[in-house]
Amino acid sequence: MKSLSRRTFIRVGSLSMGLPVLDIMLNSSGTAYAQSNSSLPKRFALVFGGTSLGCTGDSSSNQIFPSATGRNYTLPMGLSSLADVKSQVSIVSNLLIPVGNSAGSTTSAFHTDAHLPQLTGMRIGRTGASSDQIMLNFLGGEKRGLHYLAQASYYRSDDAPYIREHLCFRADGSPIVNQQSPRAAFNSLFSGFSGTNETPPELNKLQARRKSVLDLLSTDLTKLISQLGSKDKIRMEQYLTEVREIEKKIEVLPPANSTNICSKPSDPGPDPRIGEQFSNTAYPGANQGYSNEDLRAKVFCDLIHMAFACDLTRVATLMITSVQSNMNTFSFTGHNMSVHGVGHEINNEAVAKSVRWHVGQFAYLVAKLRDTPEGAGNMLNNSVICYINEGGFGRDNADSSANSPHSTENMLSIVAGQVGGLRPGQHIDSYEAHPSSLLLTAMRATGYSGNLGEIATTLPQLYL
Amino acid sequence: MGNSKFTTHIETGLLVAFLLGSPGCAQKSGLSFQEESSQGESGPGGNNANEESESESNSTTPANVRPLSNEELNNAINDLLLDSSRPATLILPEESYSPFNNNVDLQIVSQPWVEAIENLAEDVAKKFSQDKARSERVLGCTPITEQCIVNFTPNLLKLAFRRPVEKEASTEILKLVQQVIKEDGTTSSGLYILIRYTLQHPEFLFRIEKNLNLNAFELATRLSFLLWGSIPDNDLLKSAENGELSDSDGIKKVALRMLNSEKAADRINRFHSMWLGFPNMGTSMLAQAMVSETNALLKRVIVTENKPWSEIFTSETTYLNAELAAHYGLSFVGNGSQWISYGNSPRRGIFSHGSFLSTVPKFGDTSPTQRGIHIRKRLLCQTVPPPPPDANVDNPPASETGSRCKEDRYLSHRKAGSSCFGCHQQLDPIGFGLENFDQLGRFRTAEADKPECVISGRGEVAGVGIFSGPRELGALLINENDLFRCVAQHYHSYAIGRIPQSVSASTATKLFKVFEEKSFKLKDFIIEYVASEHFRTKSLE
Repeated sequence: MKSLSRRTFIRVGSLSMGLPVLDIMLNSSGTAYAQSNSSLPKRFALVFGGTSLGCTGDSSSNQIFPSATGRNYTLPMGLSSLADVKSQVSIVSNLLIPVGNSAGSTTSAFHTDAHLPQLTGMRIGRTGASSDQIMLNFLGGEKRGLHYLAQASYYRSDDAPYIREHLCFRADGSPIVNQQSPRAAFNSLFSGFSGTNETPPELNKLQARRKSVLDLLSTDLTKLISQLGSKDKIRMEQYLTEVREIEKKIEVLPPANSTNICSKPSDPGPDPRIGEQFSNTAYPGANQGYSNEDLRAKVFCDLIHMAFACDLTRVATLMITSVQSNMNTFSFTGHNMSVHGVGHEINNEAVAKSVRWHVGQFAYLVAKLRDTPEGAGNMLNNSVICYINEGGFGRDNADSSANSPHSTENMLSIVAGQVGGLRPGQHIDSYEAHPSSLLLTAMRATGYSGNLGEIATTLPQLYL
Repeated sequence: MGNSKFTTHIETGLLVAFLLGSPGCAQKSGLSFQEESSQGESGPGGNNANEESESESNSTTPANVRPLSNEELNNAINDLLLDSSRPATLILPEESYSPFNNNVDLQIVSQPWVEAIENLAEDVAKKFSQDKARSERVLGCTPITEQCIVNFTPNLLKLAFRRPVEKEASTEILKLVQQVIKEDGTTSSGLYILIRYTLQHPEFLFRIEKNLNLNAFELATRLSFLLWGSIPDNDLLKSAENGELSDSDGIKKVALRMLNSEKAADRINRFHSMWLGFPNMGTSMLAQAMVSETNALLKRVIVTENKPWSEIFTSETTYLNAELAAHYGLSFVGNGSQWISYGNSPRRGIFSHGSFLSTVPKFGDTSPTQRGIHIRKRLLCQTVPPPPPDANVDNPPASETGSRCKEDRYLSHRKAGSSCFGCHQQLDPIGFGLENFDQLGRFRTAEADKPECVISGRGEVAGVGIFSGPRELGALLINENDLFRCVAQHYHSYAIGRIPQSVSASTATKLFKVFEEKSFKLKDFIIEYVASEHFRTKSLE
């Protein structure tokens, strides 16, 4: 059978469309593109939970760290949400970020500084691109990455939430803003797909009109920018850039009909209302609450999965809860207490339940990728997904007190996927490796050969 | 990454964390940050932006352009289209408060925001074009014909962009509107396109001021966002056109007229709720009753009766329903909501309100330290440096004697000779003076779960005086000039969309003098203020 080139476009009306991977493009063993013999698209994803791994002063067994290492270990309660994907993941424990002034070190200021070195491999005070940005550069072609935040609100009345809700950073240290609206994220990716409710011609008409409005806006913006002072120009130019990005996306549309694995997901509808569930009534002025983040996270995972399947992107990040998260955990711990609070005021068991819920979102995404055939295998064969937390549990970074959640000792991360020969299914004691080493190992598995910030070592056990 | 300008862990202001220098704690009038930020021009006589030289604008004019806040968008969309669904709140990212939600440094343009705006525009436009009754009412035509839309468009754009709009500005969009109407055979499609375009337009979405000396329309826009939280209405635009805003007396007349609107009372309430730290009280019945309580007091003192502003701290009566009265332990007879007297209770004014008392809780309870910080920073504009990085602020303080009682536990902050003493002796005693009032505003004689820990309620504002309870705290603080200077400074920062710490000491002093001249009546201050150079020019301090 004649094979199509990866670069084949379909012309429909005045718009041309790229195609995701069709069987007809692959070689006979389904492992590479037939015409160019280049490999199938590799994907990198990062999922973050705003938790540490224990509760202040609780020295009881904490039900998160598996005891045995190797391939015959049992999942403790805190990781039991991985049960269905146990063979597809490896757990890496005993990770450590040193406090001080060395490669990838952190400081004693936990909530501002603990999570950052892991993301960029840089010590506090030095800026660097986070792993996803490096991967975007390496894997992503011209496509933008997806950056989602499931936690819908800061959930306190009078503090500014910034820094706590950023996961990704450019090389100059500027943060990437996450999308918090599942609906806006859905439309951003799939408004160009025809679903069951509109025919391709109808969709084309709507998209063409949308583009006409954006065209007019671009013209008006350009004129306005010329009238502004230089610093004001920058803001307006940012708006113009984003408008143009939307236009570009309209121009490169996916096919009108679904293919084997790429199809328009169901419309998530309006976003769940903010803060109206399980408000913590001890804080009436502080809107501590819950906005069905379980559903929000699932929708974002669905979008990441399908965006990968349709090759709309190769890199995605999902911040489930923010650093020092005020989201109420009642629905999954039974305690009317925030994610941050359970780690200080309840106990290890509650923290384990919180970790279990967070990890469950990651497991959901892993399972979807595993269950989606691609080439001769499945999507997970060509992907790597990492799960990381804000902190560990051990000596306090500030005052060295024992059993502290404000610790970057005993950190634990999870990696899923088989890209580049990774062999999941194990629990590995990392012997105090830096958590960036896990991310770097994942990055190297995609073919990247550089470092992550100041961290150059990897975890070869993940290949054994 | 690390210490970008976003790094701070206690303070809400971006710049404050870096200005730790002060050796003591809680400096009075710690507003000396002008070296950092006052690069902008102030005072009249600046050139029209069109005549500004490139080098001038490059070197001296910081960014001023910022998107409308979510509530401003909600209000503007309601004013334009009679859409009260608060669409920005439904889809845009939540705002941050520093303490206001119009901080130009935080309101950045991002991909998520722009994409969400497109969704918002689509939703609102679709609903509007499909709502026959509403769209006919707004356009003033029944039925809506193409000519009607053509006639409507210039006025829509004028209102949306807050300035007279040249005929040519409508030409391109009307071409598209008419094409769409022709293709679909229905005017609602054209209306949909028009609204979508307008709501995504930069001159609708952004606060743009091109002139250093604001022109009449820029001034009208500033006035309406400050006093109404929304775009100018047709009358205000007409006043701008007629030259009513060209001199100080004219501006005062217009401002007085605007302050008589219900929207103005709302804005004054919103200003106070953001300034005092309770911008989001939540939806429970109790929380809503607390919001009503505070709003009623502010409106009565400031707007209706135009009394000295200090009365919000000394008011002998409060506006409650039966549920809230029972919650506070106050007697209440009758139905509905009414003003009741505090009588002999230690409550007076806004320090007694659940709204204020619910701010800055910690560890599931009140925090005397946090309340002290809140009052010094927010109400007195004093500098409170953050704790040293090795201080563990996430664990409750523990007493060395093993006592479980809060008064004993918090003494560990004030060990004689320790490095903690200097700041904490300025902070904790303030909070302890309010300890009889829990984070829900209820009175208590002992700690909730520890009846043996009786609360003394004794407090002190170091350098000012001792007190016990909200009544005495109010009486103490209304004698401090810093309180009035601070609210004036905050009002100005709110008006110009900058953090309060960026207001220079000299400007704050000038504003204090204006407030003083007006016998500290806030409504009169506002009228004077909006006619002053501080408001009429694109000053940044």
